[in-house]
Amino acid sequence: MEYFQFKLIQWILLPFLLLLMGIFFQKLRRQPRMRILVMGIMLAGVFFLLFPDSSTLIAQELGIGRGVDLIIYLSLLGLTVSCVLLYLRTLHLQEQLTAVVQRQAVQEARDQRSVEKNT
Amino acid sequence: MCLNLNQKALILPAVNEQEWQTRTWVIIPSYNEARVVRSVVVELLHAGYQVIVVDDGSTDDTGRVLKDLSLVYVAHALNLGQGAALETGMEMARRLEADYVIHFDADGQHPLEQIPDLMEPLLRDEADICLGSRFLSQESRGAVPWRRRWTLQVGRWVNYLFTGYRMSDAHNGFRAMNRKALHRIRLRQRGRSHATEILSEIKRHQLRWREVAVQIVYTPYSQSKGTSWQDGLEIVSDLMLRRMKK
Repeated sequence: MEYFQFKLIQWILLPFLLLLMGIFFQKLRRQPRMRILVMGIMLAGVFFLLFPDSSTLIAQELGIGRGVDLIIYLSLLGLTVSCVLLYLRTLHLQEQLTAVVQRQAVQEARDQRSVEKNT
Repeated sequence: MCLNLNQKALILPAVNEQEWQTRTWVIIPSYNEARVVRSVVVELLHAGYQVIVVDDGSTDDTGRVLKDLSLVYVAHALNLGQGAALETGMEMARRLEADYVIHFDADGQHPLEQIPDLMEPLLRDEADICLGSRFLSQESRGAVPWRRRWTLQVGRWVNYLFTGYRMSDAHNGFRAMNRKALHRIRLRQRGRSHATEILSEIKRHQLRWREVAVQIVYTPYSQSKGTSWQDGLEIVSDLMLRRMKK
């Protein structure tokens, strides 16, 4: 039962994580795969927050040593994947913007062929 | 050796010079090129070509300096990049039912008198798209600044990696294509990586292609606008991210 004697940091972070989970669960309702990924990451966060020693056990199994190192590596990996996903999302938005600007440009093209050739 | 327009017309027996020129649209993407674009357009009009200028969100006087010229002027509300400007120009050419299209830089580095060289395989129906190359003749190869030459060599390998085509030149903006290629090639890359995308499109649609020796006129102005090694890195990252997105 000693696991559930909450420390101050757990009191601060746990509600914060649960709130984020609630927000993303709602926001990602149209992206089921992304919702599963984000929920998985956040559940892992909740797990490590509730059972901090478990990260050390897993780290030692993986030959890393300290649990905190495992968390840092996983965070870096997660951050990198997030950056790439965000960039791809930006590319998608860019493509949509490009299509709109191109369509507008063609529709509003100025046909000056009636102008006498000033050559 | 470069032939002039009249000499070229004699070599192309089945094709009347005036006839193909009036059915050929020259697409000029232009971003803040007000200083030079007018003279380039005037030369093309004088030679009998139809011209589409795509103003890629310029903040200078590009629109104003072209206002009294007989051309089609298309303006992007935002600066999107050369690839996007070319695609807009090509869409305009599709609507204008162009038979041939030429990609031509606004900074005056493409010699007008080499257009017939570029067009010849198309007019003979031996190719669907012709790509200008600076490395097919000793004369034009020598004119390429050494730093640009190395960048382009790297670009050739990038093209090979992404498309499987080993071309002699990597990012030459001087190209010509027929109606078939115009209607099949769609450029989605906004920036300079469109040159590699064109090769991918050629491969995807199994278009007949040909490289044609062309000379590029390097001026301090055009060199300041050319592809740098930083642009090269951007091109590679764009292509990789686009692959990931697929």
